[in-house]
Amino acid sequence: MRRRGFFGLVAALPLLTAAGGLELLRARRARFEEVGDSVLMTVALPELLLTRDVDAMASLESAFRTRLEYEVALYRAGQSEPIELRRVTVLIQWDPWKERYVVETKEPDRTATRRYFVGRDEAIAAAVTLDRVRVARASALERGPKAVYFTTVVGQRNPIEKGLLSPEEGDGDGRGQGRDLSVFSRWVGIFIRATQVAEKTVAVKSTPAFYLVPR
Amino acid sequence: MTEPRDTKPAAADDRAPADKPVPEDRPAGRSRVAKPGRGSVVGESVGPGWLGRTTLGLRVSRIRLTRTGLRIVVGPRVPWWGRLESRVITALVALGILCVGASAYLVTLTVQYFDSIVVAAARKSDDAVAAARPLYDGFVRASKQAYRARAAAQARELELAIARVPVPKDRPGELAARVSAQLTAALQREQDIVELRLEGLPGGPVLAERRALLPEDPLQWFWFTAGPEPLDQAPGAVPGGLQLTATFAQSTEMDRRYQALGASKRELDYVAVNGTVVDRSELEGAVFRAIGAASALVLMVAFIAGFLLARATTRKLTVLSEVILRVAGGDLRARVPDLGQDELGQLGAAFNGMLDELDSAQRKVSYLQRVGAWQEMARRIAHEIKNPLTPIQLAVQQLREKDPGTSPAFTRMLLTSVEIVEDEIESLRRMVTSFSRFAKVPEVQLAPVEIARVVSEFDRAYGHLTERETDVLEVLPVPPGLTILADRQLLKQCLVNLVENAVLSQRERGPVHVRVSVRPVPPEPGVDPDLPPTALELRVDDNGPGIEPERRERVFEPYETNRKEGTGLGLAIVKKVVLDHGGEVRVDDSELGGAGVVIRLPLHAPEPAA
Repeated sequence: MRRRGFFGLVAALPLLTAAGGLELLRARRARFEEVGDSVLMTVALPELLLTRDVDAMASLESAFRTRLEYEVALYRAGQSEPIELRRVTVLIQWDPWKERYVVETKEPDRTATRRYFVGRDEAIAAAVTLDRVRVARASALERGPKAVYFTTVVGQRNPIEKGLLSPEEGDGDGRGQGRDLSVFSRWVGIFIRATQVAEKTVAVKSTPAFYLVPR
Repeated sequence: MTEPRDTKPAAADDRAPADKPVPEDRPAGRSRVAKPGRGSVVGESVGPGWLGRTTLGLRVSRIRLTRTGLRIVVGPRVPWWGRLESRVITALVALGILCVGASAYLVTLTVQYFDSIVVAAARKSDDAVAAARPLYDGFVRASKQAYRARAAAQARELELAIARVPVPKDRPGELAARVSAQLTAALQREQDIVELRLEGLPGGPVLAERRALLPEDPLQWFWFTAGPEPLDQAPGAVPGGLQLTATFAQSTEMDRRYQALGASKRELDYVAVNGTVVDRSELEGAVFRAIGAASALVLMVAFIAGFLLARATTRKLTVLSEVILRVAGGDLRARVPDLGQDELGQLGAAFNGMLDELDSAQRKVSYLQRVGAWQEMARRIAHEIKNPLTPIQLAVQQLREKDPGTSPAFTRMLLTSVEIVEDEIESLRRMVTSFSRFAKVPEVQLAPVEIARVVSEFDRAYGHLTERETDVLEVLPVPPGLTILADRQLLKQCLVNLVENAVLSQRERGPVHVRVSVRPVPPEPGVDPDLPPTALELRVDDNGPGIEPERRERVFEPYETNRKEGTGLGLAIVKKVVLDHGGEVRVDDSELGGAGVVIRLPLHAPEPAA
């Protein structure tokens, strides 16, 4: 039986993030709870799987599995290095046999949970919402209003897994034309700019920030 | 013997005739001369200045004077864009841009062409996936209907089994056992049935299952439950009372393949490049950027290589052009520096050789002109002196004969005076004879002759040097087959002059040793040693005091001598004769300790018979 200890929520505080790139993240209202030794967060990223996204809906209704990857990073205000970095994977799929939507959530250090929905929208709402996911151990964080924390969440829909792609050409024996192709591939790789490797990527920053109330 | 060029800085000036054409529109005497450190100044006129001595009558306004340090060079006034170097570099760069641009354009077209093929293939794959979706739906729907039908069939079979042997109502346990046996038999017949469950019996549901054998596993099986199917036709059955539920195990293989199809569809637009996942449009852009950068690199390398190549070539042309302009401006001392072994290097060497020949020929002409002038003067002097000598001598003889003899003192004085006058007349007569001989050096009559014959005749005619036994004339054996075009008599006269010079210079100092030798000239370095010689050297060495290096060129000038009784005409005659033979003469050190006079004559190669 988990004990809900403290619900720490602090009004908006200016975030002194050192990483300028973080300022480009969308602000997203999040809810933090302290339960036992865990700090749990609830936040929704509905942009990740919009019901008006025709292709995404067609894929979903075709019984293809849709994979949502969330990368949750916990920062202390004023610092650029994350304190905790966690990955949450959510799978949503229409089961044509049992005619229901299945939403499966996998978190590190936690048993995978599976929820079933008859309605598509309910299933999507459950999939795009990180419901009380653990972002850090409370004992690892400093308490008090001087230690302000926030999180960033980067969500990706159907990220491309490198291992599933076809092997690159030119990785053969390293001789002759194969070697030339390998050199050319490396040369082209120099000119590849940062690109999204998912059908959709959404990045948000939690607001307001929070701190743990001293005990 | 070639005189070092730096010992006669004004040689070019001396050689240049004073009456060369002068540009008419340039007043003589007006010349703008560059001052040190002032950069370049355009030569404006050809007065007595350096440019005015051009032998080709160049328009000096086309020549630019540039003072670099203390050295004046002449260069064409050509703007940078008109220079050959600029044009070659521009042409190379233009060609490079054209080639690289064309290659880049072709590569771009190729990439776009193959990309369009890939896009078409991706579209077909999308179509294939789209076509697979209804198939999968149909498969699921049909499978579900089949499972439901099989559940219904099981229900009908169960109804039939119950109806075949009616069971009294007071023995419900017997019915349950019969139903259980029927379900178990059905389970054994149908390998994909996980569970058959009949509900509604008085004793509770009857179950036949093998869950442990067919567990629900995403990699193997998932369960599909059909039913509940009512058993309304069973004897004594209440509608809705008995219900059969059947659970089937369906392989996940088809489902997994279908999901893999979806994953493949999503990944069609992505590739892994160098360990990085990238979408196709970005990859196309990266390929274009990579090709552009590679083209730029190639172009830069081509530009640098072309620049260096063009510069290496055109610099040689520039150097050649500068030297030619200097020569055209009258500076015959200008020479092309070593430009390498290529055609331009050979051209420079040939140009230098031509200048050397020109220089040599000019010096020969100049020398012969001077000798000719001296000959004319000697002829006139001889004529003017020789004519009064005889009357003077007759007059003196008359004076001696007419002496009355009255005064012994007068007679003695008269005889002494007459003797003195006669001695001087004799001296003058000898000098006049020398002058006449010098003035009357005949024109050479060239004919093929073996040098061995000349030397042999000289040896036979000259015999011995002096009456002293200690004096030695050594004539070395002459190699056979050395034929020259020569005037035999004049060449022998040259040998006589040289030997007499040697004897006169050494006779009063001790025993005289003179050596006459002939040898073919060995080929110069770099020339095929198997080629036949083209010249011979006739040497006359002595053991006399020798000639100082600084006098070795001057001794061939007429009237240049160190001896009191010498006329200084012997070596001048030798040089004139040798030059008339197309040869050269110089003074070297001798192995005998004195001077060695070297006559170099071209060998005669007879014309092949037609």
